[in-house]
Amino acid sequence: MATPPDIDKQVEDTLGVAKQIGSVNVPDGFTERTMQRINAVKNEPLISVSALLKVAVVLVMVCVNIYTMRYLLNTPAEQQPASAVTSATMDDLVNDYQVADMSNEWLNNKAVQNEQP
Amino acid sequence: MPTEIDISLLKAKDEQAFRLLVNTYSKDIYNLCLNIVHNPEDGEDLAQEAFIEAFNSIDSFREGAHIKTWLFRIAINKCYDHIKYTKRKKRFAILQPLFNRDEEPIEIPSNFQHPGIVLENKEHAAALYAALETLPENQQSAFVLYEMQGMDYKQIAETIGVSLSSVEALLFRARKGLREKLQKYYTHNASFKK
Repeated sequence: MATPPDIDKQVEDTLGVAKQIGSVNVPDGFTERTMQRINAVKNEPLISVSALLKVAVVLVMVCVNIYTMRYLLNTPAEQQPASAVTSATMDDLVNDYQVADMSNEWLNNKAVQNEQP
Repeated sequence: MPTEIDISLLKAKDEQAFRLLVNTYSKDIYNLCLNIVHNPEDGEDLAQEAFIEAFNSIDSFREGAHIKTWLFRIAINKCYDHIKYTKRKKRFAILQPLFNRDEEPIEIPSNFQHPGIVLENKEHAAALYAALETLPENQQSAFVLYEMQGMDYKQIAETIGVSLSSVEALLFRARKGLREKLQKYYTHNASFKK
């Protein structure tokens, strides 16, 4: 696509600016600040305490998980601790939670009581 | 430029040797960072980080290589890591208040005014920097190193780790890309003014 000559000139002028960008001096105290940061890095321990703590926590979690998996895989099902839920059938569940005894009667009674003056 | 920097002293982590290194190359590294990140505060911070990285990894510096190009490579990597980090942070800034209420979202200054540009060139320079930001990293670095830092092809090749012919190709593509972007920019501006 042909572009007007003035636009081409503007483009070339803009590209020419790159060579005219002057070098800027570093801010005052740059060397001192840099050396301070270098010295801080020099005196820093190789591995920080928090990083060590994180690694330790991860290791403990991994060990606990491995132990649990091994225990579950190597122990026969009969020897594993019984689950707290013992309801084997729906009837057991109904008996355990006494679902059969429940009715809406108490609700009706309450409604009747409220209606009485 | 004084080049009596003793690499063996640097490798021994001698403070005076590092002070000399910082004094010698701070201006070049600062200007390079400034031309890439377009922010004086970030430029200073990244230039300092480049020297810290040099201090930490001086053992990996090969004897016979140029310390200047090695430092430039570290600084360029630092700058692009910073730009990526800033963009990522900006992208997820909307989620930040949910997880971290104290941290403020980072902003990239769009109207950067380079302190080394004369007043009459300010407008052209702003357009150039805006166009430069749209180029791929390697083209951008080749252009900045050649046009703004005054490096030759050999030094650029050593700095960004490519061959001489690749530098030539990168510069060609960078200029072509910049021309296209600038033409669009000025055409749009001209039609807007009418």
